[in-house]
Amino acid sequence: MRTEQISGAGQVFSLLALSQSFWLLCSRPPLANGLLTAAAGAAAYGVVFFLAVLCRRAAAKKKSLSKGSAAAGMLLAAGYFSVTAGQLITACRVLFDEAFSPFFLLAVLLAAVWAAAAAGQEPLGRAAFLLAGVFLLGVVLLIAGVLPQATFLNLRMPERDSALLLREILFILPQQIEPFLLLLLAPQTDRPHSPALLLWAPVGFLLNAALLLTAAPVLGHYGSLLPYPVMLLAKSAGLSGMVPVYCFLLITAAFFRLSGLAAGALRLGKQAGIAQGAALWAAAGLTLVGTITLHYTGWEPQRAYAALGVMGLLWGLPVVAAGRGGGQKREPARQR
Amino acid sequence: MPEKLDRSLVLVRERIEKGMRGSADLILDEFQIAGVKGLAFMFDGLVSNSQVSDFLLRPLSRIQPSEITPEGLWDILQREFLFSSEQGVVDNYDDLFTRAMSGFVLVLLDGVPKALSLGYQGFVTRSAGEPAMEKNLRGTREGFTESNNTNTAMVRRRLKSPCLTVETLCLGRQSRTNVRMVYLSDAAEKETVDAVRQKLQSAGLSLVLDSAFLQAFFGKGAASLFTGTGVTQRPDTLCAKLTEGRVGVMVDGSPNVMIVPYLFTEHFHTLDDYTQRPYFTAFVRALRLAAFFITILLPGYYVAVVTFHPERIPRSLLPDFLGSVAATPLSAAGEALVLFLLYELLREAGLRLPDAIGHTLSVVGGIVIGDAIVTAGLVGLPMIIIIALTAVSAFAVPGLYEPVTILRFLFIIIGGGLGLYGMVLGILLLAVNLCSLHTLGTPLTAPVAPWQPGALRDLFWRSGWRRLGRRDYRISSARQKGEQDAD
Repeated sequence: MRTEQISGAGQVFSLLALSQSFWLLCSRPPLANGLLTAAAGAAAYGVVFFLAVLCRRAAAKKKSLSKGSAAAGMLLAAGYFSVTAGQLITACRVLFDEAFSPFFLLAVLLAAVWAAAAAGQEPLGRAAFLLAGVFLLGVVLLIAGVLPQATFLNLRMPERDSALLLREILFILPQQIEPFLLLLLAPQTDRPHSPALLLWAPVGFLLNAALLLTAAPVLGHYGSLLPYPVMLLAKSAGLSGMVPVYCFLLITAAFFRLSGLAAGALRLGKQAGIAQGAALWAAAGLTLVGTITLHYTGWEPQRAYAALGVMGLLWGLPVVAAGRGGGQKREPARQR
Repeated sequence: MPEKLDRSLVLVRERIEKGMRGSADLILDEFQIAGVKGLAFMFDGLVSNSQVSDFLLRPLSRIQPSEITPEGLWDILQREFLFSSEQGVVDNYDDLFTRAMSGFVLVLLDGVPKALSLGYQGFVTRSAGEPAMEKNLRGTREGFTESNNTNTAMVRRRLKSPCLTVETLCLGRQSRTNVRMVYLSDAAEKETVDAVRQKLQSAGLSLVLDSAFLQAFFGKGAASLFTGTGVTQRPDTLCAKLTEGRVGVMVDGSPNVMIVPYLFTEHFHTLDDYTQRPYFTAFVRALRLAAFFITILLPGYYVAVVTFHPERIPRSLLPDFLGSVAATPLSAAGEALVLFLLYELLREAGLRLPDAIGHTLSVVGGIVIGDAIVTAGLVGLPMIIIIALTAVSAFAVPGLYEPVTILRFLFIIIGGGLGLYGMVLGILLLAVNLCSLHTLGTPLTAPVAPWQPGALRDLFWRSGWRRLGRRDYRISSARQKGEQDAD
């Protein structure tokens, strides 16, 4: 089957590629400069790509999960949702100079994301595809806006940081486990023969590398060590229009990551035997509790991501390895 | 089961008179041919008196058989005479009344439980003028009228294809409106045509006065401000849509023809796009797209920025923007809402007034109120500029005026309450909502999502006619793509 004949591939691909960009847009790289982060990103994406291939093979079997496994997956999705939502709210508090209370931001976010998730995976995928173009346009605008300030002298690699590549990889990797779970769970990706879907990993990497490699010459080779380097990039552009562009990029990436997780949680809830309406409220409640808990315990997102990454692997790898999920066979797609 | 016509002319006459309750425009003319009594049933004003006289009464008066039964006379009338090009037979009261009220003359004979229906419509209809809502620079000046017959003829004159099919339905329990489905049988999918017919028949309205009455029955998906059906008053636009496999729905008495299904991107296309050079078409389409976003988002964005994010305002504009907000008693969101309400009020008031009074209203609204409101310090000048730009932009995409107006208000409220954070979330939700809508299986957002690269040649820009002419676009491809995604 030819790539262009794979329906829906472009939409799920956009959902995943947008989701991939979220971590960079609100990240706080702790150790290295932009070049090292890009190199670590390449290694991390390589691992994710390998996992994604396995997930595609497992998803192509068209088997549903057992009830217990589905319920565990729902909890996992709610956990990822909570960390992502918490990260977005923290970033928005910084971006908007604490103009809004975190609970207000959270309430609005949950209302918007769960309303979108209730619409279903199909409209979500289409909307992601629609907005991916605008998102790319935003990235190009941002880069074009700051490029005149770039100094290529900043691109030199600091020697003392080069040994920290492994830690940088370990920093990035847990955050990338989540999209591969999305790939495993999203119903539109259950169709076999969609290798084009896997391009989201290299495209996500290229997108992030483009931003990082712009940040390095503009902010200095330690610039990307600062919290929210892309936000700083937008501010440093000196153009009043760039911060709203960053705001759009950040919230769009987070929205699709969150709504993808929410739709996945709903789907898992249904597989676990919970009715559609009850699954919606259960998943929304779980995410609310998770986000508030994380907010009050003050857990670093990085730690939460690491814990969820381990749990995700423990949950996902057996599913991938079995390639069956141990549950009931799904109904075949409608014949035309 | 409709009530069958009586054999006795006396009973038929009584039934008609009882049914019409002594209506003043009812005409019941009795005649006699070779000893057989007859009755002509019609309504004053709906039939052409000269046609009735020339083509019905004169030929009837020439029939002079010596001895004949009512059935024999009926056979002669039906087989040997062509009184009208629209000639048919009616055997029940429902059809009898419907035909008579549609401008037909019904001829009945005593002893024959049937009526000959003859089309002598003579009611006054508007001549085909330029459509008020869809003006263009080049191309035809002809627009649909209120008569379905005239409208169908306009389409057939342009599409001389034997595949052009016209189906007639009678909709509306009270109005019994003549509704026509028009489509090209070789372009429109049978499933689509059947679905349109089924939706129309199951509409269950008592009154159908315009195609807009039927629009609501075609949408499916989430509740939305947008619709998946279009409206045109231009026969050339309808013909273009029919060749893409869509179905036109004409409602007698209305010049607005509904097009099913209709895509969101088509609101940014006009007929002039196909008569202008491609590069200029690309420019005006980009302009319309920009106008759509400006009219929805600009007031909300301005309110969000001056309320929550003043650091985003360029330094040169900062004193003026913030100064104007500080000098007025209302908040920025309040200012925008008041001005837009005032603008919509003036628009609504001026819409249905005679031209002379309309001009006066424009002067009062635009100069007196507009100038006074700024002089009095109720609204700042930057807000007036924003409102003016937004109002003008709304008219660049007239097909979307209704949803755009409501969305503008929503985004002002969101911008005033949630700043850019809420604005972006609002845009994302709007995109999801748009993507969740489909009409008869065709996604509203096609051919962008689902993506159809083949449609790109006539989407944001238009390719030259050499390329456009190579292959016809079919709306069914969008439906099929949408269904594949739903699997």
